[in-house]
Amino acid sequence: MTTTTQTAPLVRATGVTKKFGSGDKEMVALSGLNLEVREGEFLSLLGPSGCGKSTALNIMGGLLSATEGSITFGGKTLTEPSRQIGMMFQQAVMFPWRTTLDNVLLPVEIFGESKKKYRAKAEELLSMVGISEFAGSYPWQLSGGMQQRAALCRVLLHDPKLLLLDEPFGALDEFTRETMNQELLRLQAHTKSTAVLVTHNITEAVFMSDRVAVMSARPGRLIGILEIPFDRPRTPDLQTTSDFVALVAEARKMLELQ
Amino acid sequence: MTRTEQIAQLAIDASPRAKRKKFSPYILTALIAPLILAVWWFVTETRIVPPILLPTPASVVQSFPRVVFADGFGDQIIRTVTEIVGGFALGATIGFLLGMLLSSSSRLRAAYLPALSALEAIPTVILAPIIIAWVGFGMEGKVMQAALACFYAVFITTLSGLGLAEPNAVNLMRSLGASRWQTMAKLRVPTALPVIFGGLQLGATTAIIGAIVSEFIGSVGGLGYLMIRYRGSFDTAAYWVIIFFFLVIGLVTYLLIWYAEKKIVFWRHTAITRPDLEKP
Repeated sequence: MTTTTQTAPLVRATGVTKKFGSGDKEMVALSGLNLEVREGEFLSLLGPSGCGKSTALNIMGGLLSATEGSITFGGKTLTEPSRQIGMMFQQAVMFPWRTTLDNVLLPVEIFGESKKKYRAKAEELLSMVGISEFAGSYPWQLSGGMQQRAALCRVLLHDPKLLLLDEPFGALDEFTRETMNQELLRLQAHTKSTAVLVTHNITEAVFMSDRVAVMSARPGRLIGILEIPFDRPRTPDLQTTSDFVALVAEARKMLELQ
Repeated sequence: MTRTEQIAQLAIDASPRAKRKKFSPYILTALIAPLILAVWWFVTETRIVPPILLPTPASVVQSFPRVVFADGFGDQIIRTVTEIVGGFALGATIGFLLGMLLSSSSRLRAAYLPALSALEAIPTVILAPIIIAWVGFGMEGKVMQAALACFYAVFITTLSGLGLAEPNAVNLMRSLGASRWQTMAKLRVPTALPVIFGGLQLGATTAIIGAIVSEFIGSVGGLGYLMIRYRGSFDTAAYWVIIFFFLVIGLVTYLLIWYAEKKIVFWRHTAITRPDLEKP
């Protein structure tokens, strides 16, 4: 691994191994992951299913504990979920008994902060992703894409330093997914947050990221890290350039050479 | 929603399945009543079944005012309804709280769930004489009997309903650092509500049965008490009038819980309205 870090990394994983089960049924999901996530960068964890990328993400989010190794977040060892970390999942996870606005406000409600104080911000976020007129609607009145937009607003509401995104648009159709990725990049740049995206889509990983961490399956481990040097903001045209295609090919080669 | 999505949705709505006109289910309800009445009328009027066993429909209708305007009938019906409502409220509350308690700990489940389920195999009816022996013929015993009859349905549906939250939703709550209580109140209980209402519907029926059986076995008032009296004087027609009132109590209870569910668990019943298409 050849990462050169100027400032201290926001997240540092050191020898992180995760085993599930025990004895004969023991399964090594993730083996000796060493990884640094730099402040402000967009990093993707790319790999086939079963490579432990979601496990790695859940450990970074404090939802799972590592069997071996440790994670530091902002220089401190992470042992439990932090308010500074926001997570997004493959499903939007909108509660059907809450309006879109109330779903977006859920985090501050859990934190025991005043919902009133955040209401304007929630409305602003909803209008930024173009669904402000649905603030009072229920999730089941929204399309899948609109629900994920709302989920994006929810995760951004309390300005987390780190966004952990577990294939957040994986359940959406190709077109919506592309739009949502654009939306995500725009908002991440706007909020200057750091993002880690889990994906099995090579093109998506290269398009979105500053760096792509390529992983192999069973046991999940890091193969290498690909630097993606393109300027931001990035537009879909980028995907047809020869430099882009070359990087995608390189990532593919890394995956096949495992 | 994009224009393309809107058009796709319109195409789905226009499919023959969605368009087919449904006739009201109440037509079916209305059809079955005359059929039963006709059979009843036939077997009684022709004396296939003697009137002491089954009165004619006409004699039941004739007995109606006699039973309803008898002294204290209103008090008796209020007494029975109070017992049912009290027993149901008590039993459902205990069932709900116990379900919450056991859902929060796998140790408690392992310790008490088998025993609770085994106890449920005992018909609560056979406990009625014992309860009466303990607390007497008053309303307390009927309330206890109704509570005992309905608690398990609410308990077991609460317990299984609270486990229904999606792993992703639980993870979302955990990632936000939600306490167990917050996860319970803001996620698990709302998720469980549709299932719990099933338990309430079931429990209401068994609460009615519990209260009536207890009155039947030994009481100093209530509809069950009236039934024993009419049976004693071989007034079969009046006996059937009381059965009719049980039917009404059952129907009203069903409708009340159904309405409460419709209002509280609104997200399961409201048709998808697509506000995007209603806007100009």
